[in-house]
Amino acid sequence: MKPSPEAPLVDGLAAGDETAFAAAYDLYGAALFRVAVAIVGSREEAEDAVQDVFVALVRAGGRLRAVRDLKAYLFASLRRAAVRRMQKQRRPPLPTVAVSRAPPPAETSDDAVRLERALASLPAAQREMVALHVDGGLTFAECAEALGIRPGTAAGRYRYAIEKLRAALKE
Amino acid sequence: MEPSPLPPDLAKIAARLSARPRVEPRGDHRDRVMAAVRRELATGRKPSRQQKETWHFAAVAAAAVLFVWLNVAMRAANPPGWRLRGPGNGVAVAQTAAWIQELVPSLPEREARRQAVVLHAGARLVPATQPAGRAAGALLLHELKEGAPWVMP
Repeated sequence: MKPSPEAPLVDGLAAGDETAFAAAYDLYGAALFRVAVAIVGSREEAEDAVQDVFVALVRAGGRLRAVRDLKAYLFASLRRAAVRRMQKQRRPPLPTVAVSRAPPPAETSDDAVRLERALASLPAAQREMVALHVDGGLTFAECAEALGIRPGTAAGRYRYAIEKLRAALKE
Repeated sequence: MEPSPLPPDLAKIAARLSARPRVEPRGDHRDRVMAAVRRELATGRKPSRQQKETWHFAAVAAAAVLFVWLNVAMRAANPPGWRLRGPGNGVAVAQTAAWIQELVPSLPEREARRQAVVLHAGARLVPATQPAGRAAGALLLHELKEGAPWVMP
């Protein structure tokens, strides 16, 4: 099997090398944050969830050497951290209003607002799929790994989400 | 394997999604995360609470096993015997009764046997301290002072 290009980074993380954690943040920190905002719906909670992911990464230690896809692993860890945060606040996981609670973009046009509203009206699983693929930049294979589903299911879920968005935007 | 591309109208919506302005983490977020990582790296070298609980459980389990093993070993080394009446005990009582009757021929056989049983029982008694309590001690002292005779059963 061909070694992953992320193998040195994974080794550094497993060994507890601080520079490896900094590199992992620089690579995935912003994407993790964007997806976290889509899941938990607040900037503060999203920042805390991303921090939880990195703390969990430290705690995983040597077990990280078994990780095949670091990116998918980080996003799967983010989902768990986000769910834990929402459970602490006694909020249902992936609430239907998550995106609408997200801070609005600086420049908003009518179209942008309509798009955000349409996105907020999606079922939680489809909205999460859009967040992972669009905001997180994950491929469908990586989304599938993070969500524990088949790549075909991930692609299908994304397509249904886009079709729902088209219908919502036409209304 | 990536799926077949979306039809043009759906692709347009996907492009709008990708192009929309995104929220980014605050500037100090990286420092916050790295500070948490450093803290966790420092504490990670100490045993965690879960590890401590595991060791505590293991120690308690080992102590319990050792306690049971010691009990079993002591019991095996010192068999209790339960002071069971041996087969010759009845014969010994009968011999003692006969000896008592020889000494006191007027004693009925039944009474001689009772005395023999009492003698045998008394021979097995273990000396013990007097019953505790102020009243018991005072009574004994009073009897000693008065020179009351000791009544043997």
